[in-house]
Parts: sequence; structure tokens; C-alpha cells
Amino acid sequence: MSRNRLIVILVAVALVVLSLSYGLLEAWNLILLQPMVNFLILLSNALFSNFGLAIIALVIIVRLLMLPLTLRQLRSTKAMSALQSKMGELQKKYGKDKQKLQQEIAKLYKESGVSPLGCVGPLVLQIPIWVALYQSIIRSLATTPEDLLGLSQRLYSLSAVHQAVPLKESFLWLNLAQPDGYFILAILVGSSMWVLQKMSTVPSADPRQQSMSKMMLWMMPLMFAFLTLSFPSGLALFWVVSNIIGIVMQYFITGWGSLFARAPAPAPQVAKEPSMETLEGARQEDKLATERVKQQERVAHGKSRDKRKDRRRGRRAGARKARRKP
Amino acid sequence: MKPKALLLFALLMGGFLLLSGCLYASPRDWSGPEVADDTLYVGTIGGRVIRYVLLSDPEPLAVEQGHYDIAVGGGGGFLSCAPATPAGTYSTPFVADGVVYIGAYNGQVYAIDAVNMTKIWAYPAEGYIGSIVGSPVVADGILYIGSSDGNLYAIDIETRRLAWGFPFETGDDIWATPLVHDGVVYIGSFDHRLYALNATDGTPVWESPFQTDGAIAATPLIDNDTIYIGSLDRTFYAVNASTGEVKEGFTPFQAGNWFWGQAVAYDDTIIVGCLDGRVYALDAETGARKWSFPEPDKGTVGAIRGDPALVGDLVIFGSEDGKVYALDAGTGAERWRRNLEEPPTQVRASLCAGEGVVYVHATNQRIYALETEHGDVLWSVSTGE
Repeated sequence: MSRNRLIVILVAVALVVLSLSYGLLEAWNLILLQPMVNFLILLSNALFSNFGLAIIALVIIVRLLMLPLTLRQLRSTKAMSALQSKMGELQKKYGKDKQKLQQEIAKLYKESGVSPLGCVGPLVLQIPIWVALYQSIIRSLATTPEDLLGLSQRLYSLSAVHQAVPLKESFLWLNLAQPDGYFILAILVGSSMWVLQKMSTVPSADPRQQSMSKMMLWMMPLMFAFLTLSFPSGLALFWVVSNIIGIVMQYFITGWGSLFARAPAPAPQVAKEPSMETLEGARQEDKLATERVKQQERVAHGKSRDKRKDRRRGRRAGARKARRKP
Repeated sequence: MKPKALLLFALLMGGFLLLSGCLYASPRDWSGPEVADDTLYVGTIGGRVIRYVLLSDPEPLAVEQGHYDIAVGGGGGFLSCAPATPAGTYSTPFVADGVVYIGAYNGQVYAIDAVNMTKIWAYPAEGYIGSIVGSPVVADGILYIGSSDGNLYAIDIETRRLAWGFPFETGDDIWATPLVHDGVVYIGSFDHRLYALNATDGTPVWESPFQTDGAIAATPLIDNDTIYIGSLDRTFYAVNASTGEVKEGFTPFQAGNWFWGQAVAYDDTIIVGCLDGRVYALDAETGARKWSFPEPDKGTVGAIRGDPALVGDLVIFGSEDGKVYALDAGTGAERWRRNLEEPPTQVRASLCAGEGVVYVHATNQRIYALETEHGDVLWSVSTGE
């Protein structure tokens, strides 16, 4: 058994034992929420009693701690993205035979050493951390007397923690316990989320997937921007910082991704495509496939379609051909 | 948009809200009851001030006779899980000269006719000051109340205007109830300071405010020219009321959690409840622990937030575990305990002592009248709407 697998099993066993002993909610509080709340308060104390700075620092720290998971997820996404052109070819080739298509896709994954769930695993592991981080900000803010009373029972027995509570709510122009009345945070949340989503979208030749990606690209930023208008601005600050760090990380791993690319054209319907039975049809199909592969490779590597570059490339290729065949 | 996409969007939205701020505990305001002239007044979670007439014949009973509904304040937003400014009341009513005074969480102070429960006036007449958590105190025609905007307000109840020299601005929220004694108003603030101000013009009485290491949410107690007050730094202090310095010979007492309730004095003992789930009895001169309930080796009860009631030689506390405890004030021995956990509840409001009766407002929106001899429930009424 590998060391990693052993660690995962031990952690899982510890979680089950804790959940059974304390109850799921209490175990959640004990393992994740309570340490985060206390750490956040200590950070605030250390950063000049500034809760806004504490939120920013905590998001950066958590992002750094989760860097290995994030890198794994981003690399998997990148690898998946690179396979899209080959996937498109397979879909075109075996579109009618679903079983064969599945077999070929599985074969492609195996040959490329890519797991289709490779980007999901790290993402799933990160979700509890983000939820706890999110909750810890709400709990630490303790805006109502009940919240403050509840917080008193979650604090470690450290003088620095008790002395720092209740936290100061003002940061820049914001009252972190109240929604931002100037719409600035809503715009920042929406735009930063849109950029991050756009950068990390995996281009797909599947029209359904394309439509779904397009919907998510707009829906999620709009939804979060809308929620920012009514949620405490401390949470919105958390979203903005998290998105910006996400954008920076994404840039260093995949470049600008799909940010400056238009969505790839949907693959033509299999039934309408030229028949392989005729030579002319086969040629036409090859031409189409080559075009699609080129287009998708450009999208996967984050290159915009620079027509001038294409023309230059075409002229060079033409010149080469001309040299070969005088 | 396709149905699948809509479903996914709905799931995302629902999951997000479920995992997010909507995990807030629902508000459980803790207005304590106040009794005057066989009538009990209390504020409710929904922002209603209710008047109950207390009957004793043929059997003890409380009958609601009128109420006043506080308007919902501003703030909040669509889909907002974050608390805004509901009309709820944490403030315990103060009754004087046929008028009920109460502060509301929406940021207004109300003067209500004690008989017909109609509003006489509100301060401010238009708009709101910061949310009010502490209770009002009326002395010499002036109403004193602290607000979350960090100000201590003094309102002349005749003119309904601010008294000269007020509001007095502190460095942070005020959630405590002021104490007025011999022309001096004492108030604790979240800025870690206890202030002593001249009640007529708001000028400081001490050279500098008394400084603790934590926010102050408790109401001070004055006894023998000494101010006793606990802080969120888990320490209980005794301060010389004349100078504002630590009382000579008194060692500040360190507990396991915050002090949020007011202390009571019994002979030469100061008794105070703590959020660490214990009641402490301290020597008024030295601060030495005389007894605690439960004793250190016997665990704890639920957190104790509200002010206790002193009835004869009994000190009675409500707790977060939904129970009311009556202790011998001299020894700390438990006389009785009453479980109010049907339906499950907590006792966070300050208790109110009557003649042989203690009134408890629990978070299950019920008021209980417990006789002080054995803790039997004489009656209980729902304050729910």
C-alpha cells in the first residue's frame, strides 16, 4: 500500500471515529471550524486589530496550504483540455457507435495517462475547507448578541483570543458586518469570478457542454454579485481575494486559458458530415478534422486567433511547398 | 435554458445557501420581564411589548391585556441571511410613573403608556440610532441608554430631547445597561473601558476611564463605594467608585470565560454568573473565591448570561442549559433546580424577582413564574404571536 493511500485511510478513519464520538456537526466544528475561527481572531489581533486584513491573510494562507491540491487539479484540467482535440476526432469517428466511442475514449485516457476524475478529486477535497473558511468568517464577525454568545463557547482558552473579541468591523470604506452599499464589491466579485471562470473553462466540441459552460460563465458571477448586495461585506471580501489569487495561480499554470478566446464552433452533426465511403468525402472530412484540431489546440493553449499570424503562417507554408515542387 | 441546466442552477444556488451564512442561528432575543403594580411587561422576539396582569385569586395566573408592536427597522436585503435590524428586543423594560421604556434592536427607544400600551414617543422620532441591546434606566427625569453606535444617550423625558452634554461617545459599541448612582452614570463599552460620567452634563468624573483587557458588556454593580464589573477578558474587577482605580486589596478574579451578567451583593459576598457555566461567590474586599457552583471538580452547568435574582438568602440563575438554579447565597448549596426544557430552550434573559416568585423569560418564547421555595411552576404563558 502506498504511503499516500495509507494517510488517506488513516485520516478517513480518524474522521469517522470523531464523527461517531461527537456527532457530525460537532466533529466538523472541532476539526475545521473552531481552529479556523480562533486562527482568524488571532490573525486579526496580530494585524493591528484589522479584520479585513485578517480575512485577506487567511485566504492567502489557506490557498498556500492547498497549493498541492490546486496544482494537481489545474494540471489535470490542463491535460483534459489538451485532449479535447483528440476527443473531438473520436466523437466524429465513432459518434454513431456509443459503445465503441466509450472504449476509444477510455483507451485515449489510458494512453495519455490522464484520469477524467483527476481534476474532481482535489476539488472535492478542497470544498470542506472553503465552506469552513466561509463559515468561520461569519462566526467570527458575530454581528448579533446571539452570535457573540455562541462565539464565546467556540474560543480557545487564550487571552489574546478573548481580548480581541468582538472584532472591529470597519475596513476601508466597508462595514464588514453589513453589505456594501456602494456596489463596488458586487462589481469586483462578479468580474473577478467571470475572469477566473473564463480562464479555467475547458473548451469542448460538444455543443451541450458548450452551452452549459456558457451558462455557468455568466450565471455564477451574476449570482455571487447579487448575493454580495445582501451578504456581509466580509464574505464578499473573501470572495474577491480568493478569486484574485485563483486568477494569479491559473495564469502561472495555464496562462490566460480561454480568457481571450472565443468559444469553439460546435462540431458538425455526425449524420450531416460527408460520408467516409467516397474518396471526396474522406478528403473533406480530413480537412474538417484538421481545421477543428487546429482551432481547438489554439483555444486550449490560450492563444487568440490572430488572423495576421495565420496568414503569415499560410504564406510560409505555401513558399515551402513551392520550393519543394518547382 | 434547458431543464437540466435550470436544475443544476437551482441545486447550485440551494447548496450554496445551505452551506453558507444561512447556517446562522435564528435570533433569540432576551428581553427580561419587569414587574410593577401587579403587572408584568416584557419584550418579545417579534418586537412586541406585552402587558400581563398578574392575578392570584382563585389561582396564580397571568392574563395578557394589551401590547405594542415595534416597527421593523431598516436594512437587510433580498435573500439576506445576514442579520439586519429586526424589531426584536434584548432590552428589559423600565417602568416609571405609568410609562414603560424599552430600547429596540431596530435602533429606537420607546415610551409606551403602561395601561393602554400606546406609544407616547420614540427617540429618535424619525430614523434610527444604532441597535440597542442594553436596557434603559430612568433617574431624575432623564432616560439613559447605550447604543451600538458607541454613544450613551441621555433623553429628557419631558422635552423628549437629548440632555445637555449628551450623547457621550465611547470608542466602540455599547451593549451594556448603564448604572445611575448618586448623580453619576457608569457605563461599560466594547472599547474595553468603564466610564463614570456626571449624570447631568456627561462630563467624566474620573481622571481616566477604568481600562480592562476585554470588551465590557455587563452592567456594573455598586456596593460600599465600590464598582464591581466583569469583562470579556474573563476577569472580574472591583473599582474604587470615587477614583476609578482598582480597589485596594482586591485581586481581580480570573474565570474560564466571559462575564456578561450583572453581579449581586449578599452581605460581604459578590455573586456573579459566568459564561463558563459556573456561579462564583467572591469576597467583596479581597476578591478571593468563597464558593462556586458547581464546584471546580463537579463539571459545569450551561453558560450563564443574564442577571441573577436575589430573593432573601437565595440567589437564582438561569442558564443556557434551559434550567433555573436556586442556590444558598451564603454557602452556594443548591436548593432546587427547575428544568424548563419542554420544548428545548435556553435562559438568557435577566430574571425578575417578585414576592416569593421569580419570573423567567426563556428562549422558547414562554414566561414562567416559579415560586422561590421549591421552584414549582406557578404558571407559564406563551409570548409567541
